[in-house]
Amino acid sequence: MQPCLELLQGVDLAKIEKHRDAANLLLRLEFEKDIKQILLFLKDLGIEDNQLGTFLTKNYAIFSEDLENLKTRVAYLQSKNFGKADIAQMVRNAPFLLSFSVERLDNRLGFFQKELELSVKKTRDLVVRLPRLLTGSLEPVKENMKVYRLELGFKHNEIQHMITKIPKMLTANKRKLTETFDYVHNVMNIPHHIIVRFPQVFNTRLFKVKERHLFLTYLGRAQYDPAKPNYISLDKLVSMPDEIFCEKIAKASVRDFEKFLKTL
Amino acid sequence: MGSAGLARLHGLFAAYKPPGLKWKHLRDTVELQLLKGLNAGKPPAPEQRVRFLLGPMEGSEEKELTLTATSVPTLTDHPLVCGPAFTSLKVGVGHRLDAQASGVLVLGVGRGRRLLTDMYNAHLTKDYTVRGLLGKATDDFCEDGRLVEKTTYDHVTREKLDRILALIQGSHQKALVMYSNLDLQTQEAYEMAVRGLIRPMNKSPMLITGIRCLHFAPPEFLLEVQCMHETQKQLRRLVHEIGLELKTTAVCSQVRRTRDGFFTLDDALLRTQWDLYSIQDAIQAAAPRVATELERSLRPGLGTQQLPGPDQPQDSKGPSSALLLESCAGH
Repeated sequence: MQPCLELLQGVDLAKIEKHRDAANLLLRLEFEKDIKQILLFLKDLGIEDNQLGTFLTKNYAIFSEDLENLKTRVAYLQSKNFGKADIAQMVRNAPFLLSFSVERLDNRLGFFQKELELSVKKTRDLVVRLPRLLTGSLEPVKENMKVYRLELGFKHNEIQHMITKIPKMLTANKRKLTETFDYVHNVMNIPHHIIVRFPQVFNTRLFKVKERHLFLTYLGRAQYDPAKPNYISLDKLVSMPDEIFCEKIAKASVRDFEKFLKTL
Repeated sequence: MGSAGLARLHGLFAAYKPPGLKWKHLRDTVELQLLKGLNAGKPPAPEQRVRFLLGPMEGSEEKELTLTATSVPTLTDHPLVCGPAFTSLKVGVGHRLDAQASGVLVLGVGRGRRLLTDMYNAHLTKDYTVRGLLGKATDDFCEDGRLVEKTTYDHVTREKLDRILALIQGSHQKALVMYSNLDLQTQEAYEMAVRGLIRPMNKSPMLITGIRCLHFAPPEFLLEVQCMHETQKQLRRLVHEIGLELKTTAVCSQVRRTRDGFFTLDDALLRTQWDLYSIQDAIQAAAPRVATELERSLRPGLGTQQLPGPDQPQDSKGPSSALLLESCAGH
């Protein structure tokens, strides 16, 4: 075990130990036969030495996969026109990707193509940005699509636009989505077409949106209509850190913002 | 760094609880942030142990591998092998706030949790600002509850409200004296009453030591309440009852604690300041004040020497029942 540890700087054994059968699996492996070949294969794909640590912490079971299967899966992805750098990035962000069989990957890609009705290139970009769409369960994605269409009332092309900008919306929590949308649409009175232009609001914590909106209303600067002067766009409202928000948007000091927060 | 950081992490500090957050979530968030800060520090240098490894012997002409003693770092304490150094911290909460209320929430870490019980036994008053809305009545006295009744409120004036508040304060004053179990016939008790220091030192229902109206713009009004042994729901019920006394109805739209004992809004840490360094600084800053205030409130008041009665225990710490002076009141 010792040469293993010295080579793989960065593998978090404490996390692996928490899984029940991990220790048995890892001890049974032989360094020369199994581990070395798979490590070389991963390095070929483009994963650097220092990134191997985090990869193996998540997916230590890759050592029990057959090298031939791994090569077939990579060949399949390349046949779908994923570039070499793209595949490396996907494997880095979703370590379990290569443990899925070819038909499962095929099903997943087909599902996203049909459900979202995006062009092939856009689906590819989406999957490269958020590869855990392929490894995670599909039920939350289906639920979220229904929520967007039926409950929140977005049209299909609006949903497509939002998802290409922020792919994380597909896997977001349903309750948080509805709460955020309820506040943004009903309390801040922002219509659908402006929310579509700035889907980042769904990615931020609700309390942040509430605090900043209440501060702007207190200062009288809560203007979200692009036609009127002193318009404040939603992305500037949510995506900026506190200091820049106070200085540029609210035109107040951070101390005033803190004092206001203590009056809520 | 971790253990040095932990050494400075014993004591009381105040956090500002925003509305909508449960106090338990706040306590858990603070604990997670503290653990993150403690584990982020550099781990101590690993111990070395001597192992005999095969290696080429220098200075010899034969090219043989011989065992040499080398000092090798052990990996048993490495965080990647046995997990992060700190996995849990004991954080206690003082007087709780319910989910819709906001304001100062006192938290105690490590040895500071013992001071939390001392603070509870000191029975200090707390300050609240309560915002009310005339004209509505709901089932849970909050603005978003189920609507029960709607009334007009044109007849309500500032004078009527002030009169009602003075009535309330007067009746609670009588209750204060009654629950503090003091015999007002003695000189010491009279002097304490004059200075306004009477308060019950054991369990009692909610008692209001002071209430006044800060702002009145119908339908909204803003009250400042000093009370003890309260719950936020009782404060909302108070707003409802004030509405009834004014022959209209009222609901409470905001309950905010501005002072808990000797922790004020200025000491309270906002959400952005819930990290290791700010909390350590806050604990250090509050420590001397906490020590003096707790010592003062648990000591016998007015500095008079207490004459021990035949069955009076000799300890100087404040007993759990009424103020020490009651023993003098017995004669």
